[in-house]
Parts: sequence; structure tokens; C-alpha cells
Amino acid sequence: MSYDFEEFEKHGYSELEVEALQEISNIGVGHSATALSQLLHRRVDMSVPLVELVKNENLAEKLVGASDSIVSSVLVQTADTNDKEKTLNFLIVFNEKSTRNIINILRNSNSPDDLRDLDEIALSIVKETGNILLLHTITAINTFTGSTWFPNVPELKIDMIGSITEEIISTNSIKNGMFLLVECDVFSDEENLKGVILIIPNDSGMKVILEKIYGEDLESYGE
Amino acid sequence: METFPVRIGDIVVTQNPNKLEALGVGSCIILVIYDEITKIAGMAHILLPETIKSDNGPPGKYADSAVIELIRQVVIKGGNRNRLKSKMVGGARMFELSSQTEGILDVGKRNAIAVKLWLEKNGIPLVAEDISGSQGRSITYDSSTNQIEIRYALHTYNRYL
Repeated sequence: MSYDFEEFEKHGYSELEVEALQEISNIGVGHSATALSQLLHRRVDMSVPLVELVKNENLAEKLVGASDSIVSSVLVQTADTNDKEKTLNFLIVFNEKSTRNIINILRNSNSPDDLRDLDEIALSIVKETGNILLLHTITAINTFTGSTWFPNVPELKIDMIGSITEEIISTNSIKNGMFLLVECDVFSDEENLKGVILIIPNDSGMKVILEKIYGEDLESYGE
Repeated sequence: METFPVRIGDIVVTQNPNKLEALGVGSCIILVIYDEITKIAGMAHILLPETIKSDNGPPGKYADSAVIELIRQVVIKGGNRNRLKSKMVGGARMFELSSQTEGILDVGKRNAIAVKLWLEKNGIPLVAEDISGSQGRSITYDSSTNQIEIRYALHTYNRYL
């Protein structure tokens, strides 16, 4: 099992809810890995997505290690077409080395060592790569669950991972200050290309996912 | 001299000359309250403006409980209540389009406003601040010099309060 059910149970999640999230992440991230492989013309593998409950405060360290590690990240917010209150946010994070490698591969040149020195084109490359991967994830989820999550424009942020996640956790924490993290490494053997995708539902967003999979009568499945 | 980390929701107070540090701060507010004479000081790492009961978080996490609790702990360690002053850093807005459920202001701004409000209510003067903007900050407070060093990810220069 790639999740710790006892931890989920302690915080009020049913096994059904957790399995649904596991399925969604498997599919979403699988599509993403395929997209990256096509984009970069090389083999891309993914680890089995890990669905975890993480204390808000530990999110940054969970993702990258040190909360002051510099990363590039792309945020895509989506809202349910039928009810804009329901949101599902996606964040993809690349560490410093992976960021530079993505730029190098797509621009066929050597990018500066320092992420501070990236020019407009390099920034664009990172933003678009992140966006493409997230859009594939979103489409896969829509297809699988029959839902209609509509994406907003992507935002690129290059900064310390702790700083990036603080705002997200303060506006998206659900169920007792625990954060739902669907973490998956999408990586390539040839280069250091590691991306981590965070799928962040708010409470009502979660309900939509579950309703789509199990039907409106969620109560009858209750445990 | 040691360096103590102050993570989200933490309140850390020091009586002896030490450093208090918060790395990778975004929309949170880092609040330092200190007694200039005895050099007793404390730092809080505040995530939200108001307590959310169902959250079960520590008092340091919310502005409405953190300020009072930080004052209390500094006083317990020997700080003189009438001499206390404060400095604050953070409250950045990292993403333009973050879903903000409470109207127009982003959470970084709301945190800053809330902390200032509670400082005022408790009669603690704010002597310096480095807030807002759209960049992450790493913050180190040295209680022996009462100086805050602020480091940015994408700049080569540091800032001092």
C-alpha cells in the first residue's frame, strides 16, 4: 500500500476517500509522465504516487528537504465549471538542478547556473513545461471522474519552497490542519529531472471528486 | 551562541544570547518581541490572522493568540512588560491568483494587519518592519545585537532591521 490508512482514519477520512485519491493520482500523474516524455523526447518514469496526510507545517520539508531550498514551481488553479466555489489546485515543483536541465534540453544550450539569472525565454520554458504537465493531469482527472475542472492561467514562482507553500497551506488546509499531499516523482534516468506534483483539493473540491466516482449517494457508502 | 529554528506555529523565547531563525517564509508573519535591556526576546511564526478552532493548532499559529502568548512567554522568562518592543517581517503574496476566500486582501496582508492590531491592543510598539512584496524571506534574529537579518532567494544582498 502506498498510503498509511491508519493516519487517514485518525483524521476522519474513510478508506473509500483515500482509495479514490490514490486512483486519481495514479491516472493523473501517469498521463503527465507520458506528456513529459513526448515533450523531451526521452524516456520518463514515475514513481507510484504517494497519498499522504502531512501536517501543514511540514509540507515544504516533505517536498524538498530544506524549507529554504530554491525551487521553481508552477501553480494552476482550477474551479468546477458548475460551482466555482469548489476548487482543486495543482502545484508542480522542480528542484534547482531539474529546472536548469529542463531549460537546457528544450533550448539546446547551457543555462546559467544560478536561477537568479534566468532570462525571459528560460522562465517561459519552465512555466510552459509545468503548465503542460499539469494540464495533462487535470484532463486525465476530468476524463476519469467525469468532472469539469477548468484551469486558470498558470503562475510561475521561483523562490524558496517554504515560502511558496506557506500561502497555499494557509488558504487550502482541510480537516484539522492536515494537508493532503499526492506526491509523485516524475523522473528521467538520463538527466536529473525530478518533478513533484501536489494536488490540493479544498473540502468541497474533495466532495466533488468523490461524488463523481461513487455517485451522489455518498452517505450510503459511509462507514 | 546557538541557533534555534522557529517553524510554522512555533513560539521560541531566549534568555541568553542566541539566534532565532525562520527559513523560507512567505505569507507568514515573523514577529519578534524583545526587552532591550535584559535582551530577553522571543519569536513567533504566524500563519493565519484568526484562530480556526477545528484546526487544533498551537497558539503561535494564529495572530489573535500568538501575540498574547509571545508576550506572556517573554515576561515569564524575565522580560519587563513595560519595556517590550517589536519588529515584524513577512506577509508576502507569492501568487497573484491564490484563491482568497475572504474578499480582496491576500492572507499575507491580513496577517500583517492582524498582528499590528494585536500589538496595538497590547501596547507593544512596532519599531521596524519588512513586509509585503512577492518574495520569500529567510529571517535570523540575533538576541545579543537585537538585529534581524533578512535573506532573499533571488537577491544577492541582505536586509537588516
